[in-house]
Amino acid sequence: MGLREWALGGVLLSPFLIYVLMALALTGLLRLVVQATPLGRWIWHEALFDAALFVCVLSLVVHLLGPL
Amino acid sequence: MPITLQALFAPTSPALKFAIKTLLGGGLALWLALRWGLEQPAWALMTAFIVAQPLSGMVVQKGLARLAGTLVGTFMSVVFIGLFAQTPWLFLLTLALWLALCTAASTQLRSAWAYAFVLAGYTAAIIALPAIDHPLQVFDQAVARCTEICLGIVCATATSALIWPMRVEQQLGGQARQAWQNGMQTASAMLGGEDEARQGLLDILGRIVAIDAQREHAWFEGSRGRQRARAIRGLSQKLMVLLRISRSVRRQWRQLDEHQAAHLAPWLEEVRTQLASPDQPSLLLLRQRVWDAAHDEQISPAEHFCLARLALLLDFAMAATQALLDVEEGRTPKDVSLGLAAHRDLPLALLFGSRSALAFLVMSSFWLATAWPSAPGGLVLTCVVCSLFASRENGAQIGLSFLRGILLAIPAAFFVGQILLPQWSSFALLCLGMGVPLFFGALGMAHPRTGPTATSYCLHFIVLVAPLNAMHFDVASMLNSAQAMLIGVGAAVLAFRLVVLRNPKWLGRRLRAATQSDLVRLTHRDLRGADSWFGGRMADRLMQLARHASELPEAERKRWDDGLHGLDIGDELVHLRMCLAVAQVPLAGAERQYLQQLEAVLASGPAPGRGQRLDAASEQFIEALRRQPSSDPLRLAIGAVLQLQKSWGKWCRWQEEVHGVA
Repeated sequence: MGLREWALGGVLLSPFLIYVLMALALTGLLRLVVQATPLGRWIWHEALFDAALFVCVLSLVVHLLGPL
Repeated sequence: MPITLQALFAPTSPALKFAIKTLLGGGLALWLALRWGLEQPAWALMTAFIVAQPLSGMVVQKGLARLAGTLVGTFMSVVFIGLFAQTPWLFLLTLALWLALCTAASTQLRSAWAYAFVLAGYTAAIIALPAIDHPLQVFDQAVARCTEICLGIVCATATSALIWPMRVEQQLGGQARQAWQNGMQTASAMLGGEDEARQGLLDILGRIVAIDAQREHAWFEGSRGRQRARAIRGLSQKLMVLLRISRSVRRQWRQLDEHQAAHLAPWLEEVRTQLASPDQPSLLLLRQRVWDAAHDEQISPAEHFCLARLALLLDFAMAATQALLDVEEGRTPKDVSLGLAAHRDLPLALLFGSRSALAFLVMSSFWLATAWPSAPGGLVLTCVVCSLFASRENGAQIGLSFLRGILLAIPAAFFVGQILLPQWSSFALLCLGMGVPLFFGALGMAHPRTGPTATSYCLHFIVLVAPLNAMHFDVASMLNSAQAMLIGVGAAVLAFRLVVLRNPKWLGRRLRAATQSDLVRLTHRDLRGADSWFGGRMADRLMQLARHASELPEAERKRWDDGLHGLDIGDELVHLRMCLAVAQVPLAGAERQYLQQLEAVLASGPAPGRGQRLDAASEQFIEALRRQPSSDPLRLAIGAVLQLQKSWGKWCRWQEEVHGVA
């Protein structure tokens, strides 16, 4: 996909938007996994953990899919 | 979602009236704004929706608050642009600081005027942020926004006052009666025993504070409304005192031995049945009998104190009943009392303010980093959500329902603004296109549960459709601003979730410290209005403590008692000083000495092992009181001194128990 704009019926959308949505879905999945395993007990501040996890996943997604 | 369906498709008649009123007000504002060729007519329409409230007085009050806030915010935005147009970072920092200050000030106020501060904060952002690209036009823009907002306020106020006017003052009568009934029941329950009365006390405190807030709206409904407002002030003060006296009777009751308690039990029962169905003449009669019984020569001092306090309780029950009649008939009471004071916590307010500033700065860094042209729209929403709901416990939930409203508004606005309106032309068709979705939104606004989502839906629908004299339709810019909205509100929700300012232990400690400093002030404060000053502040604190206590583990729930102990001591202190003021005996030296010692002890605070600190001072003072010729107020004063000593000891022992647990 790369860092190129995404055309939706003639409207150009930022590629970052798609990455954000993908990262959101991935974070949700990871969150479910964390909750299911005993790992969840070690989290101090859940909201902070989620936000940080999202940033990590997003940077990973951009890093992996950006150069393609 | 049955509630939503019910609100939309089976509305009650008040909700229907409200929706029609709001829609007409908005339509009028939009028509005038288009007719006069104002720059962004959407603002007039939006304002008409923002100030829309079910009751007329509330609309006027909210409109005035909005007007005042808008004027100040407009002025500040011109100042900021004038000073910092060339230095974006300095500009953003100043704006963040201003936002923090306004948010802090608004959380300090319990009254509806807090809204003016919120407005002053985010209006500066609304006007200054878009103006940063062309700073020379800021003055024109400021004047345009101000005109549009004022137009919206005037139209909304006019329609709500003219069409099916629903007045606050008429509802106040019913609410006042309910509060009075609850107050009497709670007082009676507290006379009987403590535990079941606790929840009742909390309920009635909440009710009193809520009705006291309504008072401000009634102020704008003619002279009758103003008289009712004054009467409400009297009622809330009387009820507050009634509750405290009923606690003090109970305290005195615990000092009685078994025989004495059995002796007084019939009186207590009689008072309780009287409170269950109070009427003025029989209260007066009973009060006279209790007073006579209190002056019986054969009874012990403890019994005398108890009966005298019962008589006082009946006095205030009568005063509260009289105040209720004043409210219902819209008379100004003879004795003008002060309104309830509110508990203020400056550091906490500054923390709330800095949270808003932080969210704003994070979003503005995003803006500066991406140079995204739509970002200011999102930034404005971050400001709005952060400052409007800064002090709410459930800020994040309200923010999420805001988000839900935006998600609903996007498809509706797309359909109306990009598909229908390009084919239609004329004001009537514009009204049809926008009116139908807004009508359902207004129906939702009338229901408290769907209110936040519906309000946000209406506002963002208007922003996204953006009606203009020369409409221009552009899907890309609509999608851009929709994205900016989502990101902006998302940032605010994130700020609420990440920066949680709700450490129950810390807040509990702060409330304790505030109570203590109030007690210290009570030893030398002017007695006039001390009742409503202390009562109002303690009511706020007790409610906050209760809210925090529900988040604590079971073992620490007792923290709420901290507030109750403080309330008891303050109550006795006021009682003692009242008695001494009435007695008018020359013991200036002894009184001052005692109060100074008391002040020192209270300032050091309760702690394990400090329970005996008041004993020596109390004995000395009682000795001095006994040397005076005996009179009623003096006897009561002695009782109060003894009670103060006991309550203090109890508070200290309670600390031991709590620390033992912890």
